[in-house]
Amino acid sequence: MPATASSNSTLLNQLHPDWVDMDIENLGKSFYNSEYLPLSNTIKSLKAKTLQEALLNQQEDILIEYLQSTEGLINNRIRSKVWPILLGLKQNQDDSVDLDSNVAEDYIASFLLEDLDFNDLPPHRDEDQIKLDIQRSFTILSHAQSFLQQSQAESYTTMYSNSDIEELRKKLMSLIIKVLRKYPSLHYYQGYHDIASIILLVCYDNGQQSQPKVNEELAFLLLEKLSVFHLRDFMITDINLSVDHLKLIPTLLECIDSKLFGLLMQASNIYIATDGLYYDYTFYQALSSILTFFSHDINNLHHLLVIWDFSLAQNSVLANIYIYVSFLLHYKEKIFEELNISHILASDEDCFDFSNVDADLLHTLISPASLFSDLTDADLIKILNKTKELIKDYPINELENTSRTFKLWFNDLNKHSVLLNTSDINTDRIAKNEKYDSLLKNATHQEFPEDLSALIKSQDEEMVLQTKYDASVQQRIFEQQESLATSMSSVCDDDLNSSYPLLSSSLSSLSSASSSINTKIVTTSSLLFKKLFSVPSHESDENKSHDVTKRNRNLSLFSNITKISFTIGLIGFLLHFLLVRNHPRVLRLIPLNEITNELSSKSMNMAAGVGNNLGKLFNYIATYGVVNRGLHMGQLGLGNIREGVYGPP
Amino acid sequence: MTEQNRFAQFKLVLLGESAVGKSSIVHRFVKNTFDDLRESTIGAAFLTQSINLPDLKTTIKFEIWDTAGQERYKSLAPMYYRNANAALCVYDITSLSSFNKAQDWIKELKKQAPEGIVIALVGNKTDLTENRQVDNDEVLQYINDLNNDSNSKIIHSECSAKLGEGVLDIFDQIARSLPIDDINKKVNGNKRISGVDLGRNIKQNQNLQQNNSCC
Repeated sequence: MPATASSNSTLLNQLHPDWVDMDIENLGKSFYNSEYLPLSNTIKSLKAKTLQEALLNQQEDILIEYLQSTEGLINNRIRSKVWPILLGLKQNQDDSVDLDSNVAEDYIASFLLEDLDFNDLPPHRDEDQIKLDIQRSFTILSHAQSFLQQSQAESYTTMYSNSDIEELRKKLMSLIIKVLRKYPSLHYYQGYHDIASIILLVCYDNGQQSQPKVNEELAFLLLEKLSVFHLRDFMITDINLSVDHLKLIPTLLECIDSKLFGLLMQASNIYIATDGLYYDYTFYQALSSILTFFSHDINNLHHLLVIWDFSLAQNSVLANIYIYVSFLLHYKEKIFEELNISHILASDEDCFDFSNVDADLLHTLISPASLFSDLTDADLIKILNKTKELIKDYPINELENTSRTFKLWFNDLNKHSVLLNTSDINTDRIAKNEKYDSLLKNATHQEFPEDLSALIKSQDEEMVLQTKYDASVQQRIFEQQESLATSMSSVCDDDLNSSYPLLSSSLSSLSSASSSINTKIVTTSSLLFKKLFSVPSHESDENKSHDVTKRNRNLSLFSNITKISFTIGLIGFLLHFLLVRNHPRVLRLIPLNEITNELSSKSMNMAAGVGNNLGKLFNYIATYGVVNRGLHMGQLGLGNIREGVYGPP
Repeated sequence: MTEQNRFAQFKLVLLGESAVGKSSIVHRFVKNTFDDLRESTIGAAFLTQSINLPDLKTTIKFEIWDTAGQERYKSLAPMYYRNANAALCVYDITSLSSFNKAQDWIKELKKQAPEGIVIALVGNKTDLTENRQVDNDEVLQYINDLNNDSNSKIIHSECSAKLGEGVLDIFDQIARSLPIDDINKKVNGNKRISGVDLGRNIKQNQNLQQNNSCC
């Protein structure tokens, strides 16, 4: 946000006349832009000072800009003041912020938490599970050493003793139970306790007091707001809405980096199991990171809090998706190198052969444990800067693949997802807070106490529909495969003439499937292909080979081919080949018009010649197959396919 | 097969109630370490470890999927066991409910998992024997009944991940129950399929293969 940055610099200038001598433009830049170095202590303290001033003057724009800048909010004293503002706990309040008194408690008093005695509320159904998780929580503090070194003299350097940790666990339990008893429609998930523990740590105020204590009220309000507004999708009955969120990682990468996307697809089982012809975008590797705002996976508390600053400033859980994408991009070279396929990065070609990638290693490399293991301060700064660019350059609802991704999963299937309302990255923070304030049960909104549970109920219902939808898509793929297998058996057994109607009928059933047409064509052609090119005895045993060219050269297929209609083979092969060659951009832009015409004439010649000409044709397609312009596959009428099948009219 | 060491690779999934010690067993097996407070697993964790069976001149590599215990994550489990070769159903000997839960998992596996999956029922935390709630005789009775009902043999064992007792033995037993010879061929073909699977693929592929062979 260059515009904001410069206007903020001006603001800073007015705020700090004494800064004029210090080249404020450059100082500003180091906060916002591409100086990928950790801040020096001097700048850090200056930044801290500026942040405090901004707090004092309630200049939220500056605060938010700073949150996303190098080193985030610097320390937890500031965090515990700014996070409430980010989460909209405090709006248009007149009481001035005074850092030297216990501000947070002052303005929180207006929420009158004491009114809610959670002991009187019925227990939440997940409390046993919560206890189990809390017993083994705060393991992050056993990594205290790592953040001691990182954070030097800042306020959260306090060494936590065992009794401190026991105390924190008790507070964590009561914090989570308070929120969940107040909102019984929310479901607890393993990982929620990680989120709550980070909030608790930030509210651990050991400032000037001899007795450090946790500001529990503040922690409650933060967790309450975060849960209802941002984590809600993860807290409905079904876990699959969380899985939908994860799908957005490959979705973004498909538009950002086709090579990395192509690689990620290799980690998808359904993609491998369907011979690379169906991809469902699931990306379970990021589950723990996304569900816990990275707190389950990043052990360095300093790094973690900087990420939280950034993410909270975006006021959307979608920010975490972008951050994960940014991590993958940042370590792309390393990942390719470890897999021994660096040459793919160097190549200019549009199609890549990932067939030798070690799937286990790939899974490990794109999982949090490996991805976050060597994270340095400088890396993190780069990654977050990149994230900012990605959010700006690749808005999730305007991606070119949106009709089969974001729009489908959210706008169509899960309209009440947080991504479209309370955690919508495109809607202004304050607007969201005002619009959806009634979701929170508090004194001023007693008249709508049921709003949240009603909302969750509709989300549950939407998820049921999605489950049905997913099942029907799978069923259709399944049926299509079966029916094609059947019709191909007939093709094998029957006379050529009688096989035409069969093929024709499977092709027309293709056309009836509207939304999944791509998948169907893909699976259809795959089956045709497999049917035609498989060698009866040994090769079919060998599970499925992925090497297209190897199969093409296999001599034995010639005898098969000549048995069957030549044109059927052509179209099956053509579709399969094109789709496989184009898999990094599944099914986009295939010049079928041109190719079918070309092929039709070719096939006429070849029908006479048979045998040897086939080799030529493969070469021809091999060179042609990579062409990426032309029609959108989804818009292809079956007329073209038929033309291909039956030859030119 | 020559006299050289054979190599086979198998997928193994851990299932069981929350906090019975699934991750602790895996970490004892893979890293020979133990943490009193191992943090909750979210989703699933993936680790690998190989063991040697010198008498069989075989090295077996386990690809281990350690799943989350919370009921909520249960719907993800099929993706992990769908193409697993072995499953460890873990319970905590100090918790009867966890034993019941392990039985549920066995039931589900018998219904949904691939045929021939090696199942081991494992009671963890034998170091807490003074709090034992799950009687070993009862477990043996259950296993007997089950094994009489069907052809499959379920492995049963107890262990203490904390003390490191009995853990290796379980994996050794499993390794010896796996169809090393049969699967050796398949390993290459399956190599690229990692532990996550969706729906009916196995069935689909079987159909596909069968039908393919007709031409």
